[in-house]
Amino acid sequence: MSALLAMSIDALRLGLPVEVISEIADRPPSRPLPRAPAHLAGLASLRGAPLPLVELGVLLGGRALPPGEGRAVIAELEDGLRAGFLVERVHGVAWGRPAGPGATPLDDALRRVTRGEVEGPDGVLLELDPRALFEVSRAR
Amino acid sequence: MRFGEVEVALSTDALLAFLAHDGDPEDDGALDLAACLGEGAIGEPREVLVRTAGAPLRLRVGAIRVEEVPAAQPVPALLTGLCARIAAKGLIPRGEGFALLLDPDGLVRLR
Repeated sequence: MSALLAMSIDALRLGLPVEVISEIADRPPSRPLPRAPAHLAGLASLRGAPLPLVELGVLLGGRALPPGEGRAVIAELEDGLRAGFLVERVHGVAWGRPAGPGATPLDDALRRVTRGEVEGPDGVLLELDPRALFEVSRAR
Repeated sequence: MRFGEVEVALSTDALLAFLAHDGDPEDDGALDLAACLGEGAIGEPREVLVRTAGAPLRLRVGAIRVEEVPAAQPVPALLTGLCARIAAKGLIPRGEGFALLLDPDGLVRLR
C-alpha cells in the first residue's frame, strides 16, 4: 500500500506520493518569468521564499488553469528541488494498491512521469513519479 | 527596471553611467534588454553603461529607479537553467514577488 495525494485536472486523476509533499495551498499570486516554457506558470513568493509554479496540466499535455484558479501542491525532493504543482482539485490522501502499468494507453507526456495505475477507494489514479516530474519540469 | 509584469535589477556596483538614448533605430551598439528577455518594446528607452569583466556594456532599458533593496535570494534549483539563459543570478524580494537580479557578464553572453 502506498499513500498518495489524490488530485485532478479535468478528467485526469493523479496521485503524488505524500512523502514529497510539504504543503497544499491556495494558488499564490505569481509573476511570469521571461523566456519560460509554457508549463512554468511563474514565480510566486511563499512566506518570502521563491516558489516556481508548474502548470501540471500543461506539463502533461493538457490545458492551463484559468489565471488565479486551482490549488498548489508544494513538493520538494531531498536535493532541494521544490515547486508548486497547480492542479484543479485536491481530493485528499488515498491508500492504494499498485495496479501495474495499467490498461489505459498513455501518451508520451504522461508515460514519462508516471509509475503506473493505483487502485484507490474512489477509483484508479495515475501515480506520478516525483523525480521524473521534477526533471521534466526543469526550465532550461 | 520593469517590462510589463517582469521586474529586473542591476547592482549599482556595476553601474558606470546613465547615458542619453540617441533614438537612432539603426543603432545596434546597445543591448536591448526587453528584446533579450523576450518582452515587449520599451516605451521610453534609456541607456546605462554597465561594468563587466570585459568592455563596458551599453544596455537599453525602460524606466529606472534607484533604491535600496533586500539581499538577493538564490535562484530555486528548478529554475537555474532558465535563469542562466536570461542572465539572472538571484532574486530580489519585491512585495508579493521577486525582481530578477541580472548578472552583467551574463548579459554580455546574451548578445
